[in-house]
Amino acid sequence: MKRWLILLWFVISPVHAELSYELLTQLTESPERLQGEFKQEKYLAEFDITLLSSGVFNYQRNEFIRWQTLTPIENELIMKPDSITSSQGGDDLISLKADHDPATKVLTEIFFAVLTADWYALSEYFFANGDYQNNRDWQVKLTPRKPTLKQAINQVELSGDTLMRKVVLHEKNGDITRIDFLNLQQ
Amino acid sequence: MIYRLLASKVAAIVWGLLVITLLCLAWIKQPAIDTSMMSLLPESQQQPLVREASAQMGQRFAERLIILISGQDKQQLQQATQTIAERYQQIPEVDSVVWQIDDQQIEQSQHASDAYRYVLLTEKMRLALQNNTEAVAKRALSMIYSPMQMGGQNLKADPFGLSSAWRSAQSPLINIEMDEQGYLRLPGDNGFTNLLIIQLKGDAFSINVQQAVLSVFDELTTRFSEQDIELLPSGLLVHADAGARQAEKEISTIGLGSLAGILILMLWVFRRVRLVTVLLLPIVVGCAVATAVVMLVFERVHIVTFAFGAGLIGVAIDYALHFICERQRHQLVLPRIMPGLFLGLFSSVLAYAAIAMTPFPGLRQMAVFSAVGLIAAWLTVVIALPRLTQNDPLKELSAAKRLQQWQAACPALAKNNGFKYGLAILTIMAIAIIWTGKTEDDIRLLQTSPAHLLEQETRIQTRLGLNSSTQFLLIPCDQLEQCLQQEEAIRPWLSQLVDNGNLVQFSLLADRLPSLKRQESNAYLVETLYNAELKKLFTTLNLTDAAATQAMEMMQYGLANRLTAEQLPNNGLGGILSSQIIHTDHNGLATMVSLTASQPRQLAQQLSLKKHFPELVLVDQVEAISSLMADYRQQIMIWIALAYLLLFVILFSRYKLAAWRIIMPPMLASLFTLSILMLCLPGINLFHIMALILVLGIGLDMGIFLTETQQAANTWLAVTLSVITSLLAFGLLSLSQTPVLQHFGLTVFLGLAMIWILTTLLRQPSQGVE
Repeated sequence: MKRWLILLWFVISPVHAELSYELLTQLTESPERLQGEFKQEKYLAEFDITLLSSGVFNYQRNEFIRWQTLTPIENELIMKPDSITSSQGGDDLISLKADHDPATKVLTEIFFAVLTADWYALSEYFFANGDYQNNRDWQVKLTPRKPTLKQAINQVELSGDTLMRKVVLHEKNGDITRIDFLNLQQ
Repeated sequence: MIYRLLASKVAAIVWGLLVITLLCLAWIKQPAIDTSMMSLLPESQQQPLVREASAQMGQRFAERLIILISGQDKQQLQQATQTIAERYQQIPEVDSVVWQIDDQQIEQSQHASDAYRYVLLTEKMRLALQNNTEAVAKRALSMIYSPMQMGGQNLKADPFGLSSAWRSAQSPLINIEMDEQGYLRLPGDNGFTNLLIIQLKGDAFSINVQQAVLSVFDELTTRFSEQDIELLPSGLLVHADAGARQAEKEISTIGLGSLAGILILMLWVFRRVRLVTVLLLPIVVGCAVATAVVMLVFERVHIVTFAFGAGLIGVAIDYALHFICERQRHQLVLPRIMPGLFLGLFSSVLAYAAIAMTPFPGLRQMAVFSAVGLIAAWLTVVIALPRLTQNDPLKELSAAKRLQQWQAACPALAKNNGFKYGLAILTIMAIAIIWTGKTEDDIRLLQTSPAHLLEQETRIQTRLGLNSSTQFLLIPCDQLEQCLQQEEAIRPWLSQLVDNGNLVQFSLLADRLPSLKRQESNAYLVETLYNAELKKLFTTLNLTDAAATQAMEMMQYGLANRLTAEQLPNNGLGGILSSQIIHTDHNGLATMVSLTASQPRQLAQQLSLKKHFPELVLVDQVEAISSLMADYRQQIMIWIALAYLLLFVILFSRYKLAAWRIIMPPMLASLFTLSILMLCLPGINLFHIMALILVLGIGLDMGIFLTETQQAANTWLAVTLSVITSLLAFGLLSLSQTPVLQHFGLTVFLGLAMIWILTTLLRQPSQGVE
């Protein structure tokens, strides 16, 4: 079904930009569940500093993503298709419902799509442009299609092999978030 | 003397000229047909402010036309949307078209509130700030480290993420998103659906506006159907047009059908084309003049008025038939039948005048229509018919004879005690049924729009996420600030109602525009937060003291900013918001809180406003109108009873006790009809009762003419023909798809049929042979 949908996508879309989505679908796996560690570097353009953090994550496709920052602060972010909850030591700090808030919906959809390599969902939001080597390693640059998304994101760079290994998010205000995925286990 | 004057050439010429002038004047005026059941009802007796608010709500729906454009190919769809928009922009009846929003507008609307971030706090944030500023700092920290903190948050300008918290709590007013080119589209769709919002300049009920807008719609629909692009319209215009078209179609079918029936019947009875033409003249003149006058006097002609048009044919033909039937027996007719003819007209016009006194604008129009039509038909009969039939020979009508023979076979039961008692028992039963009978006053059952259109409308409204509830709370005040403070005061109470499950949702203006007092208190809370947490937060993040100082200064600088109503976005989509404020010239100001109740009918009770907030008003348009209909249903019943009483007094003065014979048939027939309807239908409403006025009008003439001529055979023929023509017209009307017309048709049909039977059975057995 999904493959068919992607094919349909090609039929009805301009050809040049979307080619890499097809390729990416072939190159990458989209595991049902995945866990691993992450390292995050967040560059704040405003202050010209980089905030480092690290932790662990796991996900169950289409169900949830659990993103647990361990250092320097402890924080747990649980994303479900219809909500985001951020908590610290059992206290809910943020809880957003997607049906209330379209921005939340877009955000969770994109984050889900990035993490689970859901190229079809990403193709809804981004134009893709990329290349690959050794029939294995690939890099792709995503630029937002919708003006609403352009308000927040300049570009997303993704790279990996059969799995996603690195995400670089360029925000509009110049902030850059780099996330490396390590010790991935299916 | 009077007869000579009426018979003079001058009278004929003056009357002819008057008729032609009226018709020409009406022709020049553009017609507008009203299909709204609301406009039949009197201006509500609610407070002027409530009226104003309801009117503004209605206006909003009336002036807007939304077109959904669906297709599979995005690019083709965008081109189609562009073409449609451009086509509509050229139409003078269209004020503006919105279909695309550019980047700049989006950015503006997204960041419109940023300048006021220090004073715009959500309820949740306020609570957090009041109790525990540390939790807010933690929240900020978790957001900063979160992998997906997007949205261009600037740490110096808004380290605690107040702005994004505020923005994400704002639920969208309408469920629309934009594609990459800024085209408005509906989310969650197979394929794509773009959207076009048209603001009309004219009256949605005007046939010209309907034609201008919808002919373009039809043209575009055909054009784009080749590309598999589907267009769906939503708005009052669509329904007004459908109602008008349906009414037009039905009126012409019913009109032509009954006219054809009458022609055949008359030709069969009179066997002379010329005579039949003469007979039809008063009807045609009566209907034409009545229509012309109503069009000239009233802004819009209501479709229900046309129902009375069908009735008018039945009544107007009475005069002509009466004249023609008598004319077959006597050379000089007018002096003989004048008293009856005049009394017939006088009583009918009087009945209609009484109706015109009621506070119903719709009824007034119908009364004017009927009274004018009757007078015109009557004048045509007395002025034109004697001239037109001047040289006609006397002739026996075989139909009259046959009718008489048939009647002779039918028992006359006026003196029969068993029949009398039976009738009395039936009458008592009928009254008992009416007394305890069911009524159904829900205005929604009277929708003139076809079911599939209403369904489509509901579907579109739901997809757009527009609140289709007709209930809202009105908060009156002298100044907006007071309204907003009041809204903030009732917020906990409304939230509690949501928690209890009584309310599904509510929408407060104060959630988008807090009162100045609230903004003041927010400013204080934010200042406290900065003083307590800013330094700590920046130190945790290894940011310099200088940065912290800058953030502090920005806060102190921005703390004085206040959001006011003028700064709310007011363009395109934002216009929906500003309509939550009701401005009136004389009755002050109010804000509207839209509510969606889980059980709308019990909302008033659940809110128990009197106890909690006596100054608020719960407005429920559907409920208000329905109860108004119930009110007037009862009132009109009393009016009709009074009309019978008044008529009896008038008739008594001429006919003495024989007046009973005239009054009885329509009165009993009305009672029987009403009780039958109550037994067979889910319930009767205002319009069934209103139809009884027609039953009275037509039935009365019949009784008067029969009494005047001592039930001569030709008069019997005249009234029988008149009843048959009316039965034909109203029988056809009872097949109408428009509920109101159907109610009228059925009631009058039953009523007249029973009048005729009763009159036949109650006739004086000794008379009627001549």
